[in-house]
Amino acid sequence: MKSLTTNALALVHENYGSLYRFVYRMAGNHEMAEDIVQETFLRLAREGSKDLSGLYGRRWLFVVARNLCISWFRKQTKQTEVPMDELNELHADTDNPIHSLTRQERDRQVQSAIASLPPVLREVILLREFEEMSYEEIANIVGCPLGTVRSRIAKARDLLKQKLLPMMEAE
Amino acid sequence: MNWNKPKTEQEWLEILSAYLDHELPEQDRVELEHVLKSDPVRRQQLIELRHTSRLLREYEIMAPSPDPVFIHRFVEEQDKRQSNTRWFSFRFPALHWSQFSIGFVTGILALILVQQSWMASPDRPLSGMPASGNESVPVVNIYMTPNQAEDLLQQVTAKGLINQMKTQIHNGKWEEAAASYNLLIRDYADSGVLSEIENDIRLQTFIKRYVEKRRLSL
Repeated sequence: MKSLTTNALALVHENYGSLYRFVYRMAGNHEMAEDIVQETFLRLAREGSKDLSGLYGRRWLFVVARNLCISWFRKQTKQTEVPMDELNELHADTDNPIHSLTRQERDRQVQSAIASLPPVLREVILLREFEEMSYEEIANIVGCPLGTVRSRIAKARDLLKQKLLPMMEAE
Repeated sequence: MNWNKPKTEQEWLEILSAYLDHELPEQDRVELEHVLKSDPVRRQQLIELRHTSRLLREYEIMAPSPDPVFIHRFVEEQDKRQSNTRWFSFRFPALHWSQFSIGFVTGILALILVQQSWMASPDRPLSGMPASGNESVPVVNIYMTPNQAEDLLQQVTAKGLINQMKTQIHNGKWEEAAASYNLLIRDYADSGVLSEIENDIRLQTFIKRYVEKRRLSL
């Protein structure tokens, strides 16, 4: 029994960060991201079986977090804007303020481009680019065929490319 | 599998994106690399997609550590669930929920099967008919007072004790047989069944040779 708690806590520590980043990039809201991540883990504590370990447990967590995100989106009447103060807080570079500002501006543009995607495209590109999941793993999480994942990722990349083109040209 | 050359821009986009993610089948990958060598448009398209991917990946987010209050709550929830599981294991030591459910459902199905086979049985009397053919089974209702009921119970118990005593004698358990006899004398002397002992030579012999001799020696 004790090892079950230990395993569950290990699952929390291993996945808290990546789950938080996924939810934050999905919604661009710090408070909401923490709420969803914590709710996901509490569901694990309440409902999870002892088989939730390793990759299966990780997948389970992403499925639950993703579903909670979708519920949250449905409750929102308008699209979430990224609050600048949160980005400032997260990326404050006290040693190099200019670099910090440039970085913040770039992050703001990227987050804004991500936020402009429809949620179905946003989730697949985030899972691919940041979690480095295979198309098959993504298909299992979002619950759609492999071909759909492939075409959604391509479409998301194309839309992001158009949004981020000025940044690419500046570089 | 033959190389299906993309026909539309969307198909080109998909195949280039999948190539970037190492998700193309081997033959498609070889064919695409062949195309990329000679087609600058597709090559540029791939460069832009790769660049987009790089820009995205550079967007880092510092995730906070799990809040200690949350960890405390998480462990509490976990403990709550485990104690529920423990309670269930205590009540049903060898069973888990799944096994219990399977057992429960199997039990219900068995009951239904037994009931159905009984309903289909040719021996089953039809409603309103006696159990076996023309024979009627008389049902007798006996009414008695509480005192009569108590007397009857006494007789039945005393009869049972006599039978027990006979078995004990048969098995050579003299001590136990003597104890049964003493109980009969003490509590059931009025039941009227003691005449059975007086008429049974074997029991009389046992009483004379063992019980009374032992009583005298004491």
